[in-house]
Amino acid sequence: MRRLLILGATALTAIGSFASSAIADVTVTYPSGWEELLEPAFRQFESETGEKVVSVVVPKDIDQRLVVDFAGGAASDVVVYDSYRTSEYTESGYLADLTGYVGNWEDWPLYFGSLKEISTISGSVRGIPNYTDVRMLWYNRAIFEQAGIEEPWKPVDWNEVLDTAEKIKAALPEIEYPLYFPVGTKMGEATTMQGFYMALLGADASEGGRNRLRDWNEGVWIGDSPAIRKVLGLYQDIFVERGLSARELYYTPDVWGDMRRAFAEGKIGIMANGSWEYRSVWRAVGTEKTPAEIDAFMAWAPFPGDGSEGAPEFSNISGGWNFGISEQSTQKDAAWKLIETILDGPKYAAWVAKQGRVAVRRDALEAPEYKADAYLSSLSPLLERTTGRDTYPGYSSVSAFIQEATAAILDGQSIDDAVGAYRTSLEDEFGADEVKVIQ
Amino acid sequence: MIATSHVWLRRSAAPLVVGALPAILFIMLFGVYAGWTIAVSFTDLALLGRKAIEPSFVGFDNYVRLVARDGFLGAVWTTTVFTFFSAIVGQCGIGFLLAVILKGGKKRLRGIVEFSLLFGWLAPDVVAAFMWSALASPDGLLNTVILRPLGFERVHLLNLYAMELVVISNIWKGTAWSYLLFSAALDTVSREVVEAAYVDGANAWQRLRYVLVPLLRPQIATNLLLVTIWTYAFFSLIWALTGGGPGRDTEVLSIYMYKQAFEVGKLGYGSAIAIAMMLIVAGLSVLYVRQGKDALR
Repeated sequence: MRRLLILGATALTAIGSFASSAIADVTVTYPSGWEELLEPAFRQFESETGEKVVSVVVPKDIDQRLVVDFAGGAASDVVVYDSYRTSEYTESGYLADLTGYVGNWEDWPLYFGSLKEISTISGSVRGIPNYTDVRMLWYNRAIFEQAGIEEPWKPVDWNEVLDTAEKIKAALPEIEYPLYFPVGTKMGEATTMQGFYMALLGADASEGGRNRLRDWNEGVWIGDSPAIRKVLGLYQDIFVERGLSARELYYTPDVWGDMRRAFAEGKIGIMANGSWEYRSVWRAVGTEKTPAEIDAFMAWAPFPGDGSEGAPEFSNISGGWNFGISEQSTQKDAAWKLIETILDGPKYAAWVAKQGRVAVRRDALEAPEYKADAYLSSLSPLLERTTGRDTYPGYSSVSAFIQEATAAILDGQSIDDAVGAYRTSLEDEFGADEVKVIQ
Repeated sequence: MIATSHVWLRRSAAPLVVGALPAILFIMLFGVYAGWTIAVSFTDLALLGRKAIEPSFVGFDNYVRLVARDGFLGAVWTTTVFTFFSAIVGQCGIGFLLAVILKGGKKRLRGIVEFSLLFGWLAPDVVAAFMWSALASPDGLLNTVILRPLGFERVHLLNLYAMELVVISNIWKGTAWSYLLFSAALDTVSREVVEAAYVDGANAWQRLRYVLVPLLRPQIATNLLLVTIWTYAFFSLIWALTGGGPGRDTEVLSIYMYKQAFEVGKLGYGSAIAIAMMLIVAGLSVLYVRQGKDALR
């Protein structure tokens, strides 16, 4: 009997130690559209390590999903997140410090310095950039031809953009979106970035944060400024005064898919959007197009400033996506190994070129697929003069307030009221001494 | 402790308490979450940043802002309009009328109507949202099959009539429940009562107004209570269909709360909105329950 007991105890101990030596599945949360890069890497990781990868693919609103996962202590080991949130996630203690890992990673020196900076908070690396982007005004060439607008189109100021849209409206009344310009809260960060911020940057000179949402020198948010008022005025022109855009596309159940289909079907004349749309439009419609076919269909112009003194000639703003490891993860080493597997040089280069995304590391730029892509090369002038958002902790709330302000303009509120509510929201959130007004 | 005259039960309170433990725990779970929401509503707890780690107590600030800032009161009004037209007038009204009309109707007709009503009820909210969005789009069925043949211009229904559209889609979605409840209730009204009224010379309207409605008042009150509660907190269909837009046209309380808590990231303020919603619905419930009790007296 005693022997039996000992045997049983030994067996139990053996099972226990076996169970604890095996790590749990490595979990990943990422946005849909990345499958081609990630899924093969998962299989490779599984065959190399014997561990299983469990992934959650989030079709939309991944920012909200991640932040709730983080706050609730349920985040995956590896997360793919919008890089502008790096500082906020770090301040909240959500992202693991990757400095030790990248120090031993031979690929890290290949990454561009500016993007490393965005992902490095107080000296510690919190995210690995995956791609970046630029923003511009896309236009439908067939519509331009029918409306008698000369190409290549290079508007010099906002007025020219509005007048061109007006021409489209007059020549082709059936086009309900002569100028598609992200607005309201349902588009989320796209409203702030592709719409509001692109205009803001070109609305004034840059001293003292006059064309931004934050004054970095004084360390305060800007609650009211001539530039903010001008941009809301631009929204008023487009949506209320001149009726250059219908509203439906910004509020349908599938805002992204519907916008892309509308563009592909020739229902949008000009579209304030990003570099990824060169490919994303066609993926959404489900048609394969050669670069020549795409170039025949659509072209882009830099987003001009409003023409006021000292304002930049054209604006651009870059974002991007990062890989990170959640601080809560109990298997950071395995998570890091998975990220390394995903970011294997040649595979990454092939994917990023195929997606029409802007690569973030030198070896990918040198890869034949990428070099051969005339479109990606054409983005260089924008990339050289790019800037970023005010990604200081609290930015995502500020961005949400901006989206609410644009919605208020749609509702017919005056610019005074919309700016007033925006400023009050900032003061509620950060305190009046952290908000300044530029006359 | 346990009031009972049964000797055995009186002597064995302990095992009874143990037996009731799962239920007590279950109820406590509700209490804990409600308590947590109330507690959070007095703080500036956020999803992100410093306030996510070290929230501070802010007293009644969040509640003061409900009234002092744009947004909440507008959302209360939007929700009230939405609830009144889609739930009370639409679902309850149409459900009741259909139940009365179809009561003596042909079985086959009744079957067809019931099937169509149930279809709306059983369709998941997001599916319904995509369907209604497609129906109402400029190239959708409503425009091409109804409005344009009648000589109307193509109408951007989602642009111009977003509120009407979400109201109608919610009526389509929820009428089945009220219909089923009322037709079951009608089955309990004895034929003799209605026939007696008929013999006394009451016309159809009078039979409805003075016989059926008073008899069914408790069921009507209960249904109004239920439908109001869940419509007041309704989220998914509107969220998917319009996201609260265009502008804030369809921003009901639940959407306003979601945006404040999860998009802006203010969990404290979001909790205050949740508590305010609970109080509004509780107030309405008291009203309905009183009505129902009066009817029974």
